[in-house]
Amino acid sequence: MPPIIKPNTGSSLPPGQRPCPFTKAGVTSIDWKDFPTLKNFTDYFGNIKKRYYTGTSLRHQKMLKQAIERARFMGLLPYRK
Amino acid sequence: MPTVLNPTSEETRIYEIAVLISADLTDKEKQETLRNIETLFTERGMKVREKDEWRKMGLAYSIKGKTQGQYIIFYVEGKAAAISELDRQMKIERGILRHLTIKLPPNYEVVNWEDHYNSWKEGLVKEEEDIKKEKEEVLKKKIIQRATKKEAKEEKVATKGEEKKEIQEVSEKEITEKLGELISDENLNL
Repeated sequence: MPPIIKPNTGSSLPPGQRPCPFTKAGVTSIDWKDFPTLKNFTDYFGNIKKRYYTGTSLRHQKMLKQAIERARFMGLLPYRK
Repeated sequence: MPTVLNPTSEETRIYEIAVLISADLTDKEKQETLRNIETLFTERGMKVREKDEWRKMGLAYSIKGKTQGQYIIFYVEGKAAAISELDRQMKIERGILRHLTIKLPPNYEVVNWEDHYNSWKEGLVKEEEDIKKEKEEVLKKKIIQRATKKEAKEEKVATKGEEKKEIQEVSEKEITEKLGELISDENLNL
């Protein structure tokens, strides 16, 4: 089972200096079917959380965006709540 | 052991074709649509390596007036030229709400995502229970602390009253002694 990854929003470090949770877990690709991880990186309204707050690296943020958009298209995640 | 997918020859690639079927279909209709999809693959010389069928579940938003659907995921090996035509045919196919074709990264591990989702939900329920238990424990501790504080306060008040009484008694005795001394003094000129 792949690990469920959570954003570093509750970190004691200030935003902009938080470490990437994906690089720490050694993730090479993000699947659109991985609902639990994608859900953690969207807010109440269904928007993608800013990487300034989650600490995600640019490479992984791009993968995440791709995965979330695919999940939205297939009706797994909402476009807007 | 997770199955790792890799193309068998250089000409072919591995694709993931996800299909969303409406939950209103009867078993017969569903089997027919699945058979049609698989014939579409075989017509174009594609091989189904793995198949993952999820249970019926609610959708995040209504698609073509349907609020419930079922995901069926095919891991297919085939040539790149066949994909565009397959996409067109899938759009025409009846009973399919949405479909998505993706070229998979190398060494892709097939995961049962439904089990993953279920285990995550169980974990969530457990976490909620743990949080509830913690809150109850904190409340119990608070109540115990309050009770001990009250007892301590009552004890303090009781001890203070006793001390005051003792002081008063002592002072009365001293006063009487002093008075006696004063009265018995001979140097006083009254």
